[in-house]
Amino acid sequence: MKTLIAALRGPLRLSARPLCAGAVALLAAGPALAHATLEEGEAPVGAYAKVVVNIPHGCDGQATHTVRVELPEGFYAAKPMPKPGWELTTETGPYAAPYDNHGHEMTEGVRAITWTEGDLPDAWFDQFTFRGRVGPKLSAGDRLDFVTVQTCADGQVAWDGSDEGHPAPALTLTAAQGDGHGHHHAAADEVELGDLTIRDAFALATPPNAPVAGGFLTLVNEGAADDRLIAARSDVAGRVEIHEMAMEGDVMKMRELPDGLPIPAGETVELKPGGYHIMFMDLKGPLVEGETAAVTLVFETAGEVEVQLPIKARGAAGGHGHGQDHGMLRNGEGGKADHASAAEAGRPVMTAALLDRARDAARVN
Amino acid sequence: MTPIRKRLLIAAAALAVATPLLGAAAWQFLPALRAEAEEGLGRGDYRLVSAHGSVFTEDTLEGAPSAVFFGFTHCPEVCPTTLGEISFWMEELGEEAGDLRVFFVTVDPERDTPEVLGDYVSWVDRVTAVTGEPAEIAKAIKAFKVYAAKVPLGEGGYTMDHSALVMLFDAHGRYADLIRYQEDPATVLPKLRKLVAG
Repeated sequence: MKTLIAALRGPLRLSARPLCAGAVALLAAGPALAHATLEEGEAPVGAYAKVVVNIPHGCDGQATHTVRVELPEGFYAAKPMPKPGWELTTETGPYAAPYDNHGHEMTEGVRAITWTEGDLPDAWFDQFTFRGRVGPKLSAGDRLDFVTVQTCADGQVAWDGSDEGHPAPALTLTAAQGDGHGHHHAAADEVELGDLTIRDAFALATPPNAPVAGGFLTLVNEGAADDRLIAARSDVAGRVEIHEMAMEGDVMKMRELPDGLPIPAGETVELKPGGYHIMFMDLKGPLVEGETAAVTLVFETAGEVEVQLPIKARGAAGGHGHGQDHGMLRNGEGGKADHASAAEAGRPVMTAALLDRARDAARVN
Repeated sequence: MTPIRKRLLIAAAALAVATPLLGAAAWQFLPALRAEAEEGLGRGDYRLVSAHGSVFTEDTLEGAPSAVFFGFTHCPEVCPTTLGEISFWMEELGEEAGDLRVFFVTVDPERDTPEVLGDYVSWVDRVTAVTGEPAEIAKAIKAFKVYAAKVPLGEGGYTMDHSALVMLFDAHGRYADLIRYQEDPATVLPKLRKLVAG
């Protein structure tokens, strides 16, 4: 049976084209079984949505070898998920109106996704997955129809809303979350760029004559792909680099990251005192507490974005919960546990550090 | 729980407790090692200058308690942060700081002239900037057993790896204690009070 289907499949596959209801009725007239549906039928306006299409059965008893999903206007920046045993192809085309993706105009993208060469028997169930973003200008209550066609050896089933028995799998939109971009915990001082959120940015006020300064922030990658902070620039400095600092014993070591700082998919990377930082070099003037310094961050994938760094008091490094408010220090709040454990571990480390320093001192000359 | 599993658990728990203790024990029971490392810390024939024009030698450490930090102005984080913390300690101690002195010694004498370094530390009460000829600074680095090394950056620039410690010396110029980078004020302030009390 399988070989027969395989033999017949080739020429018929060509008929999997944009569908009109009439072209489909051949096998669809059978008893109304479960419909093709979306696993998650709701998504917030402006949010990224993972869309999973359920294919509950074949075409009148026949196995499905091709599934094609058309992406509606209003669903953009789509990416399909590959599926073992199926060939994946996409069709790109222009959007009716361009999308503003944080300053980057998107005029075209994936408009249809087709999985072919598969073999899903009628008795089995499977899911076809892709991801994309819901247009920010849509409204809660709007519906996005994902017209889906499954093709079998001798015909097709179209889930296109052409009749009551064949509704298109649909996404019903809900109110935008947070700032309307679908990101959680959005706040005024957060900056978003594609899948990246940049928050908790600050720099430290410089002592007189200081030619350099450190900038700190937190990068959150909510996307499915890794990115990388590859460069930065600022009007306050002649040169800006991305550095890593690390305490080795009691020695602070600083290194430029020549390949940039990786921001892995789904992870949060903190640039903080004692760790990574943006290094402003050849400062054009002092960084003054209460002012802000603008820095443009350049990411490998997400592109560029300007971030404002509020300038905090000197000595207000946030790494151990030392806030600007000295009262906080007085009360020992914030980072108290850190310090307690550091203090416990302190003595033995100190021994090693002293010996290291004795050794190192012999080396340095 | 099987007896064997229980025994394993107890062993694991004992190990978890013992590991940090071993380090602490090494510290406690090897005073000879410690003494050797601390012996003569800060002693040497270096001859440096302060931003005020006075000479800084090993003798400078005598007469009043001192806190000594090695840093440099092209230091994006540790040095400003440590100066900020010193400023905070002095504020907290107020009159209790007594005759405590703080010396900020550069590890980058080529770029840190007395004027540049003097201004750099000028905003923190009690801090004296110290620099000198590169060869003299190298002697001081050795005498204080701190670590400092040039690290090239792009375009011909460089930065310094350096020990991020504040070393404390009593009024006789003897090493007394040290304060680690970003140490909790709850442990720093007692150290300073003890130092000043002698």
